[in-house]
Amino acid sequence: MDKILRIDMGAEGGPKMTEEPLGAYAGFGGRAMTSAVVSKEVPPLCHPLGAENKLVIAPGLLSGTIASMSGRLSVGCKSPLTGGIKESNAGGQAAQVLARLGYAAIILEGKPHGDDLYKIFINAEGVKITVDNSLKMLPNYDLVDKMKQQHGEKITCLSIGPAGEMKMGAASIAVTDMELRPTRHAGRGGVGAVMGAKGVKVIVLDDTGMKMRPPKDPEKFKEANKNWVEGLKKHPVTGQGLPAYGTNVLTNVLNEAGGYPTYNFKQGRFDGASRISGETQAETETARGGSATHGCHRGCIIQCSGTYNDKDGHFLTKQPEYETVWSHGGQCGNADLDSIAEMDFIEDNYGLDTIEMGVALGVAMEGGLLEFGDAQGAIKMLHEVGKGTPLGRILGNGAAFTGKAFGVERVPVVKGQAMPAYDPRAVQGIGVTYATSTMGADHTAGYAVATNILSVGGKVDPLKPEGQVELSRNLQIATAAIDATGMCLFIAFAVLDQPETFQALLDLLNAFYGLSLDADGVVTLGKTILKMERDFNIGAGFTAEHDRLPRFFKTEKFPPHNVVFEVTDEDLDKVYNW
Amino acid sequence: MSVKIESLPAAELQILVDAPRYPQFLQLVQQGIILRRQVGCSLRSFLLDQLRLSPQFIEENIQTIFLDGKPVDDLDRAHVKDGCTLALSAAMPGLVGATMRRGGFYASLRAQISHGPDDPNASATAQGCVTIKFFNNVAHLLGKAFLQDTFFITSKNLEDFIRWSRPTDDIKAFLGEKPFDWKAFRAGNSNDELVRVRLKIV
Ligand code: SF4
Repeated sequence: MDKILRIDMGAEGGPKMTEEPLGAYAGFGGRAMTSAVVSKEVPPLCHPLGAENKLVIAPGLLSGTIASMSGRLSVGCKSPLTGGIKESNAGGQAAQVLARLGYAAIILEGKPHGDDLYKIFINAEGVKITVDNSLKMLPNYDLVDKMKQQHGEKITCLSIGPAGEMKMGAASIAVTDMELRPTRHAGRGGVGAVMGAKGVKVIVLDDTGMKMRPPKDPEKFKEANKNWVEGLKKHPVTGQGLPAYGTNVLTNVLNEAGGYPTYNFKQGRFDGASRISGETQAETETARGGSATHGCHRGCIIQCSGTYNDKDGHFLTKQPEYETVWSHGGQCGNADLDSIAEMDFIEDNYGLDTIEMGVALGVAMEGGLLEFGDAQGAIKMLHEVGKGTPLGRILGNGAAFTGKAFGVERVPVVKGQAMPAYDPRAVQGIGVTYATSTMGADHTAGYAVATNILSVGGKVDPLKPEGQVELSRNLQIATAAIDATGMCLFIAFAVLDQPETFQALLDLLNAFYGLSLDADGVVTLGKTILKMERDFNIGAGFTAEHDRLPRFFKTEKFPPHNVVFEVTDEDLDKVYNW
Repeated sequence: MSVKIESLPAAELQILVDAPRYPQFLQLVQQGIILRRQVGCSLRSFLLDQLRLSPQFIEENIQTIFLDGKPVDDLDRAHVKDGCTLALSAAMPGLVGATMRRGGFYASLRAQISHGPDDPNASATAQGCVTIKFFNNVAHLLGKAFLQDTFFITSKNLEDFIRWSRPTDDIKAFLGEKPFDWKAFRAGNSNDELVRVRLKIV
């Protein structure tokens, strides 16, 4: 992983590629790499779909090694959805394969002159860029089938569906999983639209003949990985809860807490929650011959995913995760798990972010387009998006756009990005992260890890209101650092509770790169990433007013607890004071 | 929902289910089953003495507890009253999952909905009805035993289960002495009336 591949899609005479050493980007991986390149090379005021924007695809620092859980991929650019910087994270095989092919990043830049659509093929022998207009408007599953016919079964694909080609704000980039299905998505922020604007339909990777990346100190690395795996396996969340039920295990718990946004954020409880819960989903999957425990890439030992079959036992989609089940479930008043699974497949196929689309559908329901609970109507709407009808283009541009089109006041977005499945009135601490994250409303921005071990910013008094600001800040710093490693964020819990597992993570990095990184070093890395992102957003015109939740969270009481969001604007403005 | 002890039905619906089909019925404990128990005690004493869980089991398996929808941090300062709802869960993933954990580091992030301390003198010890929900691994560990003991469920929740779960028509059941007609029940008017139920795994 010692080189960067740049492809200028707008070069005279067609796309031109160059390979270069890491230079100033040495030591960066994942989100650190994408945010460093975007903040340094992209003018913050550029149009996200224009020639000046760049799409950066980067594996994590530990991707391509034998370290478990290290296969997460970061995709960065200026977001067409938020107008700010974006790092969108995906599982699947691509990070491992790209890293083994030696690339720390692929950077797509410029803008093609015509409307040709390109395929990029990368293997051990090099890079081939070809025009292939026969791929136009192919959904992801059909596209991948075609790539299999052309390049065999040992490939990994990064692709856009019709939504990306139509440059929709909710367009994702699909990454194939171990079964070569386009089920994992860099979903958030419209990164697929930027790939579409670059005229690239698919990047096909083939690492045949390439080896695992060798660590500087193989013995220490092996030992650290052993401790790492042991730590993940012994923790109840990473060793039991996630493998058995997936992330959708949260449905019952959030619903019980009265924090499950239902009927477009009107109330915190959904009557149908137990019908779409992770427990019911796992039982349904097992009974239909699918599976409730599966990894999204080789080397994942938590295995929070699964396979969802239809009533006849045929593959319908991968196990929909909590956010997807919620956004098409409680948010839309729909308690039919099969229809949720079908929508998950349709969105994977057209290349759409499932959070953005589910929230947009709920907003459209509130605007009177459909009745809440009308699952078949929602499915029809998604096909409108895939076809690119005028109505489909409204929905496919996300919740904020849909809210405007239908005159809806209750639109749950921050910086133009739809809010995930936790109401910030019930869990106010996460509201601080939604409001202030550089990414727009994002539950993963302040997801993780070990702030108590790291003691970022000193000890926090959890009973004081400022505690929420401190904790959110610390979480955002720690999360940014983890996102640079290529590690799946679900490691957070083992790392959070078990200092020895956190140490094993540091040991992995140190043994691989010959470093002596400690907790302070992790904090510095996290802060560096956030500062780059924050500076980019300021350059793009973001001010304190953008670090706010929509007004209705402060004025509308949220049943059953009848709470409003109480963190003051002054406190929100302190998040980035460190 | 307030349930009067004297209004509990006498006739019992006995459901005879094959072991491989039984996990389907765990949806009932997610929705909530009603148990008649001694109430007016601390949550800790309720878990130990009324649900008969061991301190070790509680420590190892129940990291998240809701009393009337509010996350509980202190088992000794929360009191179980007649008509309340108690939900038990393992440790949950995600930041929000972590905030819900009892006494967890991130509990302050949900301070607005936390269960505050109850007045220990406020409720007298007596028989009462408590809705119990088991989620995730807790359902897996406790569901079978509790479903095989007598419990109560609203006819609305039972109907909801029958309508949405995989078909139950082929599963034998008796209401008192008479065979139970799933189809007729599904077509009937369900409401908040309670049904006394017990599962027999055959
Ligand atoms: S835990 Fe889940 S999301 Fe994370 S790497 Fe494994 S399967 Fe993918």
